[in-house]
Amino acid sequence: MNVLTFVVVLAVTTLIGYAAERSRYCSVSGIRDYFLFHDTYLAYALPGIFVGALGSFVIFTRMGYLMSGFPLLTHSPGISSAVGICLVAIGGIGIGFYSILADGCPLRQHVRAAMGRRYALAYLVGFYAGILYFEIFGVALVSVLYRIAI
Amino acid sequence: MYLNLHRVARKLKFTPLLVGLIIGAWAGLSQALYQPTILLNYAISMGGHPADILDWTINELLRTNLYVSRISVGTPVPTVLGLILGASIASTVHKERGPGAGRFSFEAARNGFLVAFFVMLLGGCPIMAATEAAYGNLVFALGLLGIIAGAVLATLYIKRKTAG
Repeated sequence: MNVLTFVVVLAVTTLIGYAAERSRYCSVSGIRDYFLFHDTYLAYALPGIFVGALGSFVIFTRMGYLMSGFPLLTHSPGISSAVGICLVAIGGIGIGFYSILADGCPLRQHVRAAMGRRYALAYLVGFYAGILYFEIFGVALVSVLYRIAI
Repeated sequence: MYLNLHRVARKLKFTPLLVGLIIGAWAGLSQALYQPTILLNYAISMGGHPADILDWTINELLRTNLYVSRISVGTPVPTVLGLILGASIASTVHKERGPGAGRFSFEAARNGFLVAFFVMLLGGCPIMAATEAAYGNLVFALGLLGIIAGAVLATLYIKRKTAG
């Protein structure tokens, strides 16, 4: 990564971090708030990402940038693997379930930790330990599952 | 300059929808920016980017060979640093810094551990799932539906727990 790219990424993500703190942005809490209190304030977060991303992919494709294979649809990587699809579904359900129990998505917890919240700091200790654990043991587990299925 | 930026920032009204649109727009822009190193959507992933920083740091310190994405081989993508920096500025400027009501608990660490495990299993966080679904990736679209289903299940669990 060159210096210009590094600076641009840092500037944009700083803006996103600032905006996320001000708006109490969270990707999953909107679902909980809607079902518990019929509050739609956070519920627009995920649709916002989807619409923004779709718009930007279309615009940059029209501008001539290579959006590799966009739109992927039937060419999506791993679509023919039943094990892969099961793991993705389990992963998704697990993220949704435990993010609600943790009171926020990983981005929200990073923002909270930056605000000095003790709960979020403990969450991040577990989060980074989880990443490391998966890279050391989880990848092997997934490989075994694939081998058994094949 | 600082005072003017401060005034502008105070007047701006950020909503989750606006932040979502900014993150989504960044997905296309970052892909254009990262070319030709990587040609895939790698805008914001709260699984991949923290993993890149963690693995890169461990590789540098311990001379290990943990996986780092191609864009992060020389210098890791500074997404996490930017988010923490931006949130720190916002909370300092608006006087919202503090330890909060929650505790530094084992339960929080356990939740973080499990979320990270499932994020790595899916291959991305909810943001990555939404941007990949917008890219037309049907596998991630299923993952996104899984996230919504999991959130609904947890909400029902909380509802039942508080009622009983």
